[in-house]
Amino acid sequence: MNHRLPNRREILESCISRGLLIAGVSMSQTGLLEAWQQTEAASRKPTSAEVLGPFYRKGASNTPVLRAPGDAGFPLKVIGQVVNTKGQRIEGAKVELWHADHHGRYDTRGYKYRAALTPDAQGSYSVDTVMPGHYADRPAQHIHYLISAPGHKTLITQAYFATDPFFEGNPEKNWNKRGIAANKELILPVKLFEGVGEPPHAEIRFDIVLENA
Amino acid sequence: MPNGDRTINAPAIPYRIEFSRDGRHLIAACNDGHLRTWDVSSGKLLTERSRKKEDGPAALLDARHYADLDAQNGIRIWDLSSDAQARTLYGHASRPSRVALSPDGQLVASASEKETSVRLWNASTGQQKHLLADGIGGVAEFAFSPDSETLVSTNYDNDIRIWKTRSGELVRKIESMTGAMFSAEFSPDGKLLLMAGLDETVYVYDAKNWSLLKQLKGHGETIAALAISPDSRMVVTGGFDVITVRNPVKVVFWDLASGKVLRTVNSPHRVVALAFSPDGRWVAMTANEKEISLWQVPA
Repeated sequence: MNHRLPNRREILESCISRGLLIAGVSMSQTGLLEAWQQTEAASRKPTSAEVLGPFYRKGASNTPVLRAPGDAGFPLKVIGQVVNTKGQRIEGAKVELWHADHHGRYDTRGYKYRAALTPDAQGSYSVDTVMPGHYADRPAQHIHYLISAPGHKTLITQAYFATDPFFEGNPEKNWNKRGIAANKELILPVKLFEGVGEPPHAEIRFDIVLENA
Repeated sequence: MPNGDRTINAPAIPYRIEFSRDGRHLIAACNDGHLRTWDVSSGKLLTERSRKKEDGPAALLDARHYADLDAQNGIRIWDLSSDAQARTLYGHASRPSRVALSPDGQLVASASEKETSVRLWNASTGQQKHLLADGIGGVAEFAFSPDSETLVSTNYDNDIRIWKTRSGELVRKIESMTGAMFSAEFSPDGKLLLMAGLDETVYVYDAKNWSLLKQLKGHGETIAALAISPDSRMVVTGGFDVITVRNPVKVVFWDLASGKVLRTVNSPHRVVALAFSPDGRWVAMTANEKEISLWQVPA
């Protein structure tokens, strides 16, 4: 038995064949499917903005490995894609990210846990790092982002962790606690991987949607 | 151990502090929203300008003026001596986060964290004079030159912009910083612009041609505040522990010409504000405590 869930295209095809999605004007089934998918993709909401904060430093390197052997903190992989509101990859995008170390301290002298990444041909980026620590004056773990691309509005935002004790196991309810996160969507689910022969690590996916300038 | 060679007690935590022109009084806006004046020699609280809680915090602009915000993001400028409200400046679409008054009292600079421009206003008419394009991170600090002809903004995106206040012309953009400058001040003689912040260094710029003259290194902490002596020969820097404002930090007195450290003292918490007395003999400091610390300036 096949338990694979149908993808969006298969669902739409099924709806068309059952007469649940019908063209209001004369349109072929293929044309209807494409038009529907394009309209859905075109309505991707721009990622919510947050403030830059005092700890941003210009001049980080384009390096995807921020974690050194022996670094304190749980290994974390951050992946994601940078797209426009039509869901398309953006040419020339730059993803700057920075966060506190396991003890909640930002590197103000060097560039530890700071990167300025160029996404690949699919618009994807990834970094190997550690889970940011808590610091007293900002109790929710977070990663700062500054994303820029020609022809698009520069976005300043932050990614949060759904597993953070700050959200008390219920980010759906507590996402706005103390006004820390600008939007519920910025609190990301955390996947845990326990691969054979490699240490366990956490992973978050943060896709970023930029608006046209 | 007392914090300071002398300590003036306050009923609430004082933020920014100013000496009166004759040096006899200290004025501060406090975290309960009220503004207070103390006699420096006796440490006695002289006056208390009470404000309504719903009016939010007040920002002290100089020894005689303060600002607060109305519900429409308007910036209200108040005269401390008369309790009179001078002007309300309307134009910000989001809550202003930084306000500064020029030394001649004629100009107000303001910015909001969510906007990427600086507004320059005519303080007497309340009219907006210039809308100046600034960086994307929000203004960390403003500095007016002593003649009020020049305005500097330091932005959290690390860049510094310098404008002529009459024309609104951008005369220089400094893009070489790799950390935000949390504090910026012109020397009283107008010759130097000093800035310091995240990267623990004091940058000394020539205020004529905007060339970097020297860097003072050795504070050893992120720098939250600085003040320059009335004779323009000394600078004092106050620290900022990046984990929490509650950790102790240092206060360092520097000779500007030689770059030598003249004195180092401790602050129990992140330094909020520093001010030299007009006679140059004392530095007043606030640091998230219900007191004002007074440090003797080394001879």
